[in-house]
Order: sequence, then structure tokens, then C-alpha cells
Amino acid sequence: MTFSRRKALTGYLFVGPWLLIGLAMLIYPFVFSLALSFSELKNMDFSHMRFVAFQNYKRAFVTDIEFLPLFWDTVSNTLVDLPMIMITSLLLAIMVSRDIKGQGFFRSIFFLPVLLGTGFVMNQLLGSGVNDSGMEVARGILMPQIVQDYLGAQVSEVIAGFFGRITLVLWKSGVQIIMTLAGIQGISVSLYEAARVDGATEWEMFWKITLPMITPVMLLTTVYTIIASTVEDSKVVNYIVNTAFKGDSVKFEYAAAMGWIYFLFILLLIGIVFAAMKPFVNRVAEAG
Amino acid sequence: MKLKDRSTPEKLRLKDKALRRGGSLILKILLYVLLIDLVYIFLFPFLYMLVTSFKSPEDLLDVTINWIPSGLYVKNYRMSFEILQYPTRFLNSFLVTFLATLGHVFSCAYVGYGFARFKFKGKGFSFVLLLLSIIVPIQTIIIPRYLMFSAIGLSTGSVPLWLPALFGYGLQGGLFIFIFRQFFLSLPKSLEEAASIDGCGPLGTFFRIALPSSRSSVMVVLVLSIVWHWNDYYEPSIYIIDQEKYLLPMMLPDLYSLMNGAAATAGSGEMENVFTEGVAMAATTLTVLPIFIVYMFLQKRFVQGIEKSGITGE
Repeated sequence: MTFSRRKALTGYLFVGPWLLIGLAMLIYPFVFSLALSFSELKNMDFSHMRFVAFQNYKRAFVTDIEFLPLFWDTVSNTLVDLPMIMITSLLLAIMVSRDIKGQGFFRSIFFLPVLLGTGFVMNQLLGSGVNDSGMEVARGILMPQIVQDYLGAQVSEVIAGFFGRITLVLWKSGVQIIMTLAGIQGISVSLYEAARVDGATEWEMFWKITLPMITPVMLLTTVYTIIASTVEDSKVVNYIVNTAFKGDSVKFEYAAAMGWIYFLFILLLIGIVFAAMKPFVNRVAEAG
Repeated sequence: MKLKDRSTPEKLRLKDKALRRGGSLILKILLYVLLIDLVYIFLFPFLYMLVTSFKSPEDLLDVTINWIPSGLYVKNYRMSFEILQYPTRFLNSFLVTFLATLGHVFSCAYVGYGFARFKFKGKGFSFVLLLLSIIVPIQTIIIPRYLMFSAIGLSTGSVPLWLPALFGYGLQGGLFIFIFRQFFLSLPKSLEEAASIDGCGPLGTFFRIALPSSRSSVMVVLVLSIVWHWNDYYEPSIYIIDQEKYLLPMMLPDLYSLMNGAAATAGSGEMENVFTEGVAMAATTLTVLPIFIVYMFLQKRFVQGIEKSGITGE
């Protein structure tokens, strides 16, 4: 047995079991749910699936009056939050990457949202999507009552809405802050030293070193944000789950079709983001 | 005092420098104000939760009481402790989280190592599978998966929640494999090569050399896996039907809707609704308390781990 052959076999030793299980845990359900979305079930009997072409998809887009608004609600939320999450996580990561007093303290506070992740608790406390009363909490944080009284109801409503949104965004940025911070930490110190010798200011160093060097990380963070928004407890996801598992008329095949529409949209979004960001991703940083 | 002796341009330069230092001082103060503000935003929901959980019904109605309750109203905790059936549910949650996290740390490091170190046929396909396992939302494949587990008689109970994690799947398994892959790619091979020259087999090399040196990544995966498994209630709510086997977070939606319902039927409802908020917050506090304790212990190493783990694909 040649050396490279043995190395390849060792590769299978490590990845093989995972690969085999993956066929069962991932590929099979993946293909099955695709087939299911094109079929009709009689009495929930999975051995008798009848091919009905795009009927389930047609139902989602044409017949069902609930799905599209819920879908759009989630999509627009994702699209609005995405750039905001990117910017805030970048700013916060830069702040805690600097040499400041209490750095460790600030970092562990900023990672707190990760603890609650996308769980129910966070949704309850901040009221994103599930109920709006929690939003009041978020609003009050940045807007003292006096300021609200002074500005009048309408203006403060707009501003409060904006701040409430930012608060939610900050709370959703936990993992992204971590990723960006790790990216900043990964930049070689010698780059900054060389720039300083040449007389560069902090501002110049940010634009000429930090930002270009973390573009690969930014791409990864963006993709992660899109994916994370899908697992989130959004209205459309709840609707799909309820269609599949709760209520009187259990509709597996219809839920599968909606799940696929959702998945394809996410794939499309990731594709667009990739294509749009790729030209900006720094080649040197990527190779490094 | 030597300053007096210096020539004029030199003095000017110094003055300029002092001015700039003053400017940076203002910037620094601004930075700290902003940071403290952010700390407040991040802490607020936790503080709100904690304070509300200690408020008596009277406190909750009293507008003058905002942050400091008139006393520690422990009855909220006693009530929620009972409603949650805390000891039983805690054990259920603990078991799932423990098994799944343990599985994730070992299996994801194992597979990630394979991806980072070896070339083999079908690696391209394997990598696509890895990306798929990260991208495909669980909602898309949950139905067939449920059917598969029910075919082997495991669809009701907590087994589907931790079994996939033992093989590198499950909650965010793909992401964890990716994290380990990135780490091992950045780890110099020399130590492993030395071990293999000394006659250490590939498995021995992995367990004795590679895994111990990936402590920082293990820390990151450990914390994230614990937190995500503990909080998850989507998959548990599908697999676990038996009330006895419910996990802690699964109780909260029921609890909240139960209490909102009680408030709605109580006519004016105000009293009821406000009253329940204290209990609900106590229940929430009890639910998230264990991961807070875990985070307190691991926090320092977690933060350090992030810096070294190569989580970002550098």
C-alpha cells in the first residue's frame, strides 16, 4: 500500500462514518422532503404518494392567503436586519478589540445574548415576532420618559421604533460579534507596526488594514446571519410547523412544499450575497 | 521644567501633541460612555427579568416601584418551581444537553480533523455535504427525519435530540465541524508528524496530540453547544409528547400562553396579568439559571478560546 493510499484510507476513517450517517440523516430526508412536496398523501400513508407536480407549490402562492404575507414579513425583517447586524457587530467587535480597561468584562457582557440565542426566552424578553408587548421593554431602554414627552407622541414613536430595532439588532449580533472579533484578532500585528512606522493614523489603518483583512470574515458572518435568521422563531416557520404537526388537518406534503420554498429563498439570498461580496473580499487576507 | 529651555518650534510641536492627546481623551471618554450604554442594553432584559421575578402583585401594580421591589417576594419562585416541576424537567434537560454536547465535542473534532488533514476521493462531495448540513434549515427536513426515527421506534422521547449529535449532526453540528476544521488547518503539523514517526497511529495521534491541542476550539464548541441545546425547544416540541419528559424551555410557551389566557378571561384582567408576570419571570429565571452558572465558570476561557480558535476561517 502506497503512502498516499494509506493517507486516503485514514481520511475515510475520520470522515467515513460521518459521511455514511449523513446519507441517512441528511441526504435521504432532503430528497424525501423534495419528493413529498410534489406529492399528495392519502390518509397520511407514506407508501402511497401520488405525484401531483406543482400543486402544493401553487397552493402556497395562489390559494393560501396566509403564507405569502407571513413569508414576506420574515423576508423583509431579514433584509432590514442583515446590514444592521453586520455594521453593529463590526463596530462592537472593533471597540472590544482595542486596548481598553475592563476589556474582559465588556467582552463577556457582549456575548451574553449568545446565552439565550434564538430561544424562547429571548423572544419573550424582547418580543421579536412572538408578541409586541416585549418591544415596549426594548423601546424604554434608550428613551427616557422625559425625552418622549418633550418630543411629542409621533416623533418619539418613530425614534423609539428605531431604537427598539437597534436594540433587537444588538441582541441578535452575539455570535457575529464573536466571529468578527476573532477575525480582527487574527490580523498580524506586524502589519500595524509597519503602518505606524510609515506614519499612518488609526483612521487610515482601519480602512487600509483592518477592513480589508476581515472581508473574508464579513462574508462568513453575513452567510451565518442569513442562516441563523431561518432557525429563528419567525412567523413563517411557526406557520409551517403548525401545518405539519398541529391542528386538525395535518398536511405533511404541503408543509414540505413551504419548507422548500423557504429553503430555496435562503439559498438564493446566500447566492446573491456571495456574488455581491466576492469582488470585495481581499485575496491576500483570504489566502492568509 | 526643562520645557522653558526648548526652542519655539519644539514647543509648538509639544503643544500640538498635547492638544491631540486632549482630543483622544475626549474620544476615550466617549468610547467608555458608549460601552457602558451598550452594557446597559445587553444587561437590561436580564435585570428586568430578575427584578420582576421578585416583585409581589402589589409591587407590580405600583408605578412608583420600578427597579427596587419592596421586598424579596419569593412566592413567585415557589409557584414557578412547582408549575415547572423543576427537578424532573431540569434532569431531562440536563441529560439531553450533556449527551448532545459531549457527542458534539468529540464527533465534530474527529470529523473536522479528517477534513483538515487528509486528502481522499470524494472529499469534494463530503465538503458539499458539510455545507448542506450547515445551510439546510431543520424545518425543511424535519418530517422525513421524524418518520425515520418513528420507523425505528424512537420518534417519541429524547433520543432524536442527542443521537445525531454523536455523529456530528444535530443542532449546528455542521458549524462545529467547520470550526474544528479551520482550527486544525491553522495548527502546525510538525507535532503530529513527530508522533506518527514515533509509531503513533492516526487515532492515537488524534486523541493524544490533536485533540488536546485544540482546547480553545473545544471551549467555543462546548459553550455554544450547551447553550443551544439547552435553549432549543423547536425539535423537542416535535419529538417529546409525554408531559413527564418535557424539557425546561418547552414549559415556557405553555406557561406564558396559559397566563395570558387567564388574564384575558378575568375580565378587566389587569390584576391577573400583572400578577402573572412575576411568576413568569421567575420561571424564566429558573430556566436560564443553569446556563448562566455554566457561562460564569467557562466565560474567561470561552472568550480566550474565541481569540485562538480560528472560528472565522483565517
